[in-house]
Amino acid sequence: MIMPPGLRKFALSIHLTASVGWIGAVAAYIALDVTTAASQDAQTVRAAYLGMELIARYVIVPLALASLLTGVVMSVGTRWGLFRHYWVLISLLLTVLATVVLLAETQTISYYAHRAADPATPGDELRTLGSTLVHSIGGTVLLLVILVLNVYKPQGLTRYGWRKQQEQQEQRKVSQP
Amino acid sequence: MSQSDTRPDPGAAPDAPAGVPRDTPPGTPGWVKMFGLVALVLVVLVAIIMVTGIGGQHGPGRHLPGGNSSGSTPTAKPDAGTPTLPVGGGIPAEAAPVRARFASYTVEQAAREGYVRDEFCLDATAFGQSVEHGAMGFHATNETLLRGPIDSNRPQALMFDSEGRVLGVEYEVVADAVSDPPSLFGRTFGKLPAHAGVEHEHYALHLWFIENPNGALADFNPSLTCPPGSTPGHEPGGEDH
Repeated sequence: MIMPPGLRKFALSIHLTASVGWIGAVAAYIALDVTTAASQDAQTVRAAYLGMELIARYVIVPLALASLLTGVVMSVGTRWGLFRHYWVLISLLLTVLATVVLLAETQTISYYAHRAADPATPGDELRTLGSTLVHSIGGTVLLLVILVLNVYKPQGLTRYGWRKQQEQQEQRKVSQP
Repeated sequence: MSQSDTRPDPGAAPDAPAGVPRDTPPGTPGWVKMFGLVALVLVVLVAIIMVTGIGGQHGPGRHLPGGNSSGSTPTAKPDAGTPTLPVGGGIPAEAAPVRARFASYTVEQAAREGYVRDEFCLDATAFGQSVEHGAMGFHATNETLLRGPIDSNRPQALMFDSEGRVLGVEYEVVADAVSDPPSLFGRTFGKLPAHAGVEHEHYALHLWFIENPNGALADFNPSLTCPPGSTPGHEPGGEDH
């Protein structure tokens, strides 16, 4: 079902907010992630771990799910379709991948926060607990790739998209007097 | 997946390349092929990293309690590198947090906290006993803790198998650092002679995370044997010290 222009713009606004917000939230998260990896001050590291969990759980995860959901809505609600154009299909796959890894990584982040929240956890352990930098930086790169794909929309129809296009052209011919 | 409005929605044939017959599906664009190639390389790299263990244990469960233990049924007599490690029972309730914290440690993670893994595996023969008594595995010892204190959350050593999985932990203190044998988890430490890896007579208590027929606090685990050629032989320590 193709959305009318007004609804489409509204959905697009939500989708852009969620998607770009996701990148921004990850940037804030990385600042804390770097702190846990680099700081030698136990209290700073402890606070950073707690902040990481809050950002991940209450900002990044909701934005990721919203981005994925609104992206699917935007695809099926416009003529772009979900599987017709390579840039849409690849964006979908990368978004699903990023979301799955994020949800899995949230367990690790929660573990770190749990250890950091325990006053009995010694500073030495906190400083060597670990970071999620590889995943957060990798995730950022992935999101930027998706962003570029969505801005440039490189040409390329999938076979499915080509078949659908042929069908539409045939219907157009038939319907013309 | 931002379908911005900067371009009109695709019309009749926005992507039909010039010169391609209409009844022929378009080929895969070059940028998609390049994308797939890069993705393939990345997937292979990640697979190599995960299989070889470079960069430490991977996966979301790596920090969770018991995340590194297998619940498989034990086979007849596994060595310290057998992939099926039965999860130990009979662990004192007060020792459960210790297991929760350390069971998923990797050798690298332990090293970052000062636990240096021995190159050799210790079995009962290193203590002048019959090999039938079992083994302890590969110790990773934090030597800065060898004079105490005894703290359940800071064991002096971790015991690994040859695959780098945690078998248990060891609390120990050199004998001349204390006036009496310490106690932990309701058990008084036993005195062990110097042996490879520990130069002095010491009091020790082992806590096994995997099944130990002799009990979770026994020195040796008769279910384990050291891999061939991995024991220190009659090297330093032993009963001569």
